[in-house]
Amino acid sequence: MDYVIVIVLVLGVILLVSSPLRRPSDPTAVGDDGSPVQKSGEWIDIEAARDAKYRELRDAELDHQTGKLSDADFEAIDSTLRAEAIELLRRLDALDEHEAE
Amino acid sequence: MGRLGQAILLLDLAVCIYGVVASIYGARTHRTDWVDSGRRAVYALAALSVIAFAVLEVAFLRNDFSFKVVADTSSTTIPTFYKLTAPWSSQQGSLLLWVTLSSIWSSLVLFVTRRRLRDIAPYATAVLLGMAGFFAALASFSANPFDTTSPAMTPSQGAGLDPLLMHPSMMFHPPMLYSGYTLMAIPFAFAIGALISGNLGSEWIRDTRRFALGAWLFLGVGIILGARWSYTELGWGGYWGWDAVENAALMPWLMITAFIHSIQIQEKRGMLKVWNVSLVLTAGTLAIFGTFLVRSGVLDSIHAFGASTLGVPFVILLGIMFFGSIGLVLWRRESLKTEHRIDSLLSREAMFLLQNLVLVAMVFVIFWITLFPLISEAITGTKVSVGPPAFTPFVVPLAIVLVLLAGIGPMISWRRATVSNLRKHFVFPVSFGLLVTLLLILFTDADRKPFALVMFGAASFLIASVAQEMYRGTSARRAMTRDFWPVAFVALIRRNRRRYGGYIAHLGLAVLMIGVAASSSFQHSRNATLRPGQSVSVDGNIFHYVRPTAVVTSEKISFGAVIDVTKNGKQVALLHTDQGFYPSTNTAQDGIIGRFFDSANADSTIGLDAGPLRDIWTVAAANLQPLLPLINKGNKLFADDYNATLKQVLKLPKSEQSNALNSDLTKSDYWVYRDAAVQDIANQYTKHAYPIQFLLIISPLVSWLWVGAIILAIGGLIAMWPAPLAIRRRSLSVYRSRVAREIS
Repeated sequence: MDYVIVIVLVLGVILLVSSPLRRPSDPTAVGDDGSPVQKSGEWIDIEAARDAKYRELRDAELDHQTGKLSDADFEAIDSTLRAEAIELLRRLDALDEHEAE
Repeated sequence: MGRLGQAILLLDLAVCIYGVVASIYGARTHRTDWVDSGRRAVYALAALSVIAFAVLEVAFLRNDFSFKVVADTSSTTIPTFYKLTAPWSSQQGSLLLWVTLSSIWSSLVLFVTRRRLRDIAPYATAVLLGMAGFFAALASFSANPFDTTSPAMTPSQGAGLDPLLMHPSMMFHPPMLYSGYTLMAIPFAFAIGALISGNLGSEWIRDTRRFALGAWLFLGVGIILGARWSYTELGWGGYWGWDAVENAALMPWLMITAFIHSIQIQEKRGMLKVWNVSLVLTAGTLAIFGTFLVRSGVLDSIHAFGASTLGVPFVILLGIMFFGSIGLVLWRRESLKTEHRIDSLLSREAMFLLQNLVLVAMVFVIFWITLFPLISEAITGTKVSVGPPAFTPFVVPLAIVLVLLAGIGPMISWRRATVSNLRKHFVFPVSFGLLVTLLLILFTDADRKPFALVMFGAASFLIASVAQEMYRGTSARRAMTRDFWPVAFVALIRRNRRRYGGYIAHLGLAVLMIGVAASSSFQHSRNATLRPGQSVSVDGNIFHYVRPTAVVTSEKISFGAVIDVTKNGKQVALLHTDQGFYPSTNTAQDGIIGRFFDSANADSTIGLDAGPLRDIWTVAAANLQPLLPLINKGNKLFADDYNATLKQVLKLPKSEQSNALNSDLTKSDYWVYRDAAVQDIANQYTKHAYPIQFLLIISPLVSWLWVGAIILAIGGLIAMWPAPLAIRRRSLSVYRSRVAREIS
């Protein structure tokens, strides 16, 4: 009985780990040069930085609302953060256009 | 079933090796099919390990003593609950538990990130499988939980579980610790992946942050459960002894605490990349170092598995992790350069950095003092053991600074803070901290322990700062929504889980540290030998030994004492403490009767009256000395009777001897008389006023420690719990639209 179970398990493992290798390769997943055609690492990095920037904007707003930042400091930090966020959005747009080409 | 388990372990190892090769090949050739195959190897490993663990659990539940590990750590008399937990009481079973938990957590993180981190994940997969493979190899070749004996050699009864491990905490303590350790491997593996791939942004941190928090939470809960076990089971009245294995769990916990704070600086400002990578690599290495201490037997500890041959493989793994980590960080040092600098020393970033330095300093101190016995042995040839006094002069001041920083940090904004704002925020918490300190000096004797007094002040400051932050945040929310206070408070936490979950954790830290400072500085304890009817005083409480007790069950014999505690003539508590004697399997040495009274096979049940302000803690060591003549007499009588029956049986053919012996002994009511003799001897204990040695303790605010730990864990859970998707989207969209307006 033990041998039967072991054989079933071995077959199950082989089926599980080999299934990606048995699938026909996805032309959208890998480009001609072998690099992934999906969103590039740079795009994902900038997207993460953009989301972090939004969170930073929200934190600054909460700090201002709870009195930790004066109006003047908040204005300065908020405008700096928004400028940085805009720059990130522009870079994302540029990458989108580049990847579309 | 043993062969099935062994085959699965070998299959585990094969899957690990395959997965490492497939992942690295996929990463180097950009073949996503191979990368996916490597990831699926982790899923397969998890499924196989769960099956293997189930096989082991079934062997314990069925009392299958053909499994060596079941025969060594279980018996038919232990409750089912403890049979389920017995697998991780042994080196072999705990290695399998490690592989199982590691593969489950690894599967989870790789499933969550299956469409992201495409350049990092394959290397992380290889690291995770490499580490799981290491443990699977140990379980296969060095400490196999599926080793069996031949049917002829299979004992009819097991040696039983160590009585000290028969405690409810043991159901959860080891799995929690191992979950913490194995979860710590996840940010470690992704950091290695980020370093190899060169993708050193914040993405890997964002995707593994919850796993780092999970490691922090599980390891923290495991440490506290261990402390609770020590307090209620070990019979010395303490919860933390600066034991090597306790320290081995605390060090990675402190390191990951530093990490989950400092990654916020990298996420927000792109700073401290080298620092964060170094922290997480050190935490991962320390987790394995802790495992090495538990399993190698190089240091003495009640928590360790004792001497083993696993030390050398662990030293090799630690060497690879340590030097590999240093090599990778040096290789990528240019890419790890910071993008920004700290704007001001009066900023939350600066406070986080300072807090990180304090945590790392604590780890440094604990590490060297823990290793001191090994260092002294290497230099002088003598292992010099060190205890709590070696740690406290360094750790206590650092802990006070840490508590102060935990209060200061939340009150300072990111990037910069002005002096006028600081003044406005600090007035209430500082005043509250000073007021509490002053009141303690005036109305208590707390000033005789200056460090404890300062800790009370610092923790009060921290509590006030968190309360103020909650109040201000809720006020700000109410100003926008006009909600009722409780609604606004809950909404504030729901919308800012990370921030306010962290504040709640800080609150828990304050409560916990008050408990630690009070109970360790103002504890009153006394050893006393009393006969029934005698009394002794501890810190104004009169402990009166009322009467002895003796209870005989099939599982154990418990000898106890009833103690009446009074203060100023009024009863405070009526406590019962006992020592349970579990039958030993060594009949040849202990005797047929003596095996039921073996003090090496005993545990203690404390008498505890826990309250919000103080615990009354008692334990009694059963005095069996007066019973020894009776026990010895019983041993002789029953051995003579047994030998006489055996002599008759030996005349029969060999194949009939065993059955005939059992049959004759049963027919002559041998076992009935033996049990009656044991019962009679136990009853003598209550009929005579034998003197008993007691340890009696009055310990203030111990409950605060457990309550603080619960608050700390709740804070961690809130910070870890993902915000509902709708809230996240709404929140991001507000800022997206604001920024978008500016672009247009």
